[in-house]
Amino acid sequence: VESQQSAGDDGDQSSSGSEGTSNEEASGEGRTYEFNLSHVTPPSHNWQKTAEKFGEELETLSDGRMELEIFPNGQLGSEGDMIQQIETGTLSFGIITNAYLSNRIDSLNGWFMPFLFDDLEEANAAKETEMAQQFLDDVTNDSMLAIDFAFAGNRHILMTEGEVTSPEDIEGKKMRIIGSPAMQDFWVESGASPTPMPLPDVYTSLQNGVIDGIDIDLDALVSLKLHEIAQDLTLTNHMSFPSVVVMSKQVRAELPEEDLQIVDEALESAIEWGIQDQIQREQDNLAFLEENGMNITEFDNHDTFLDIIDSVYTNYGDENEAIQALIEEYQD
Amino acid sequence: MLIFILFIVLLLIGVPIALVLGITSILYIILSDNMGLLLTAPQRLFSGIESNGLIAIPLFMLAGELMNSGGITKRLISFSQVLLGHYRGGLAYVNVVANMFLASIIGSATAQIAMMSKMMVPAMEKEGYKKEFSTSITAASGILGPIIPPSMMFIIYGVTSGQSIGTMFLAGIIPGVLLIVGYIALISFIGYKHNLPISQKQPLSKLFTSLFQVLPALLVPIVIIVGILGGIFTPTESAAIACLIAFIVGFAYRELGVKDIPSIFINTTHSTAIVTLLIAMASLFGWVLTFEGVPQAISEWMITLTENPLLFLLLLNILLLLIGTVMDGIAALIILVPIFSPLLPLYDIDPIHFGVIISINLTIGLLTPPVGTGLFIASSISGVKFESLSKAILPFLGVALLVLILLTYFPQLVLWIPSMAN
Amino acid sequence: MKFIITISNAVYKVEQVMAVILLSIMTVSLTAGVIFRYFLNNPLMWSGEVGVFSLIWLTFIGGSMTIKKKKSARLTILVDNLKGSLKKMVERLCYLIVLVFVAYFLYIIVHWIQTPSILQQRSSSMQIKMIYPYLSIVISFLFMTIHSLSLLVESFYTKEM
Ligand code: NA
Ligand code: NA
Repeated sequence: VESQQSAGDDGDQSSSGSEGTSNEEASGEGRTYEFNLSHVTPPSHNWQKTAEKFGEELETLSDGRMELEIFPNGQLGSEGDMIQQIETGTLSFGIITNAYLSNRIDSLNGWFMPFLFDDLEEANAAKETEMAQQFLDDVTNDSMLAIDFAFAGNRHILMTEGEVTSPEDIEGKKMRIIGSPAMQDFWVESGASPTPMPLPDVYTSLQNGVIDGIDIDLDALVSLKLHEIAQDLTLTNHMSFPSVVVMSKQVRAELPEEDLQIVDEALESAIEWGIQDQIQREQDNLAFLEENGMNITEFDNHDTFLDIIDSVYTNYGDENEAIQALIEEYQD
Repeated sequence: MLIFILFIVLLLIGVPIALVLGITSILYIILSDNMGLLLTAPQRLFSGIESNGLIAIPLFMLAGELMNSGGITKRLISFSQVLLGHYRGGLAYVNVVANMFLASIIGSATAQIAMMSKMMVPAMEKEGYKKEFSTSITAASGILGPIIPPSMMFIIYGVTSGQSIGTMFLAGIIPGVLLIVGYIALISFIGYKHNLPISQKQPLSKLFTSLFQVLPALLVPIVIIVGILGGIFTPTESAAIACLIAFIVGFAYRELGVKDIPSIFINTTHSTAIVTLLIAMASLFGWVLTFEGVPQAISEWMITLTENPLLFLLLLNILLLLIGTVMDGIAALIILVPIFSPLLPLYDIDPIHFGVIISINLTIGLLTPPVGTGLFIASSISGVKFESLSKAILPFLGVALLVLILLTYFPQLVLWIPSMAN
Repeated sequence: MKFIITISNAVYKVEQVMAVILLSIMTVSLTAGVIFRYFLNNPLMWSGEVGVFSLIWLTFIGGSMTIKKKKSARLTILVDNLKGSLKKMVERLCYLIVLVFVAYFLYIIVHWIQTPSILQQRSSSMQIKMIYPYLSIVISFLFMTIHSLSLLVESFYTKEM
């Protein structure tokens, strides 16, 4: 039924692409698939649970013809590795952080516009917009299809000492941040001293004062046990933190239409389930941190950041129409 | 299976281990006809070493080389000699203690054994110690290098398992002390049994002079520990600071000149690349194994063997000691950590505890024949036959194993200092 | 074929210079990182990344140097016990295997480096093009190919032991 499609640019690659990911026993109905998926977060993370849900849905919807093997913790390599594997069809799916991809695809910085979304629900709702679709199109290339966004918790500010009410509270403070253009710009503009640092170093660095604070989501805060060593959490919601769910086009090319529909449907419901799970996690994490005596402050002084916000918005909005449109739609 | 046989054959005919890992990975990919994997192999090689923590490897090696060329090794020895030389078996104690000091600057056992064999064995021989005994004590004390911080083994373990390198460093302190105490007890026993020589007592003024001379070198470990605990720098950065101090001290001693720098840097590059290229290739190898579900299969099999953590650690220790007899410690560590790390939560074993055990176990492998890199180096420098050294090392090996057993069954010995620092 | 030995020696000289430069960059950038963050309270975004990229270059260039100087970690337990022409043959076989591997891997690398997504990538802190650190793999495997070919050729010129 399916003709061998040549995907990818390398002529010598086309015929042998995605072996190991699909078993062609028969055509159509009878075909079985073994997909794989990789992500860089630990097995306790929402993205793992979402992936597991995706696997279950695939199995149910296909009557057991489709299986998904999941590799958490970057077991198959860094995000750069994962993209290459997806492009060559070795890996079927990847959940890749927007932060990593924003170093390649400028428009993805849109998700990191400071204080654009009030909370996780609002950020998640924004993925239904035309602009979000444009972001996905920008990620999609000849060999990789960007299907959807999956949101981890919003970013907040954890300090070893002192809550954050205005940029003055973070001025000159050494903050561990993630390397991504818009994130860096925000922190530099805020007057903080952004310090990139590998995650395993964060606990000791925060403890002995190499850094004064960290830009972090509650899941990571709890799983790294940072509440043991830092007391002041300000719930800033200053940025969202999505990942892009991508699929190998080579793998996709081997699926007949009905099976493609199954995959897309399974993924859609897994991501829908995932966001509900994430919202629940946020509440559980907050409750846990309160129980553990953390000093938690709701942040409501956006005005103090106005200049900084404006400057970042102008920088990125001017460069990219979709980002500009997203800003206009969600700016309060 | 074919690949496994090929792996062994390539190792045996003397192909560099790093390339054996690369060759078997690539051949495996070709045989499994997964060309997509092949094209991503270079990327994997790259990200295998794209890690901040690994920068500490060349820098600590450089610090060690600079210190050695800057005359630090001989100053540490002469200081230890004034301190302990006049007891029965004095130079044997000096050997252990000087190794302890050197270990707090150097992170590699093989580097340390090479440096100390050159200095200590002739000195001991001159005072009437048997060459076999002197060489065995030097090799045995050399394994303090990767146990007392800084440590290549701990850096590599920290990076491959995602644990804090700083915590690993702190965890190595008590194991190092235990090993020293064990060696000293053994030497005093041998000292009375075999009537080991005594050196002349040095005048007190000599003690102060040599302390003064050695002070800048002793500064290195102090600066590292204080700097890390005080939040001045990360463990990775502490390696660069150690280099800086080593430069200054070397020039201050007037033993290090600008003309020595290129060859020191090139030596450091060699010793770095031997390790880091291995890490890159091993990550390619581990990735192919993961794709094929090998670590998962081993995990499942281990679980069926025992559910008892202590029994698991015992089995693991035996396995590691066996591997250590034929394989270099760092290579084994790089290959094995990704396989065993996922098992730890199942047995509720602390990853820091595990890291110390696996590192010390594989370090002991440097002293076990037939492949004992530490023994090779010591014997080739001192001129003692490999066979007689293998025999002379046995009592020291016994002490090291005893310490390993203690550490395995009393995790607190490893975890106490890190928990105090928290 | 003797000219390949000359080329390999020249390449090794280049590698030596690169090694000295890379290690210096690494030491300076990390030390500067500490000074700027702790003493000047103005952390450098680039110091860690410069360190990592120098390490990667150092690893592959140094790896090539250890092949040239036969310093790589390897098992010698069997080879040491062989004698005469058998030893020589095993040695040549080793060089040949290494040559075939590094040359074939170089071929894969050349394909890999040309995949479209490589040019798209930028580093996360400095935003430099990732092709610069990636080039270390291309160049070092080219050097390794030259060195291992030279070793093989040399083994035919040296007298049997
Ligand atoms: Na050490
Ligand atoms: Na051994």
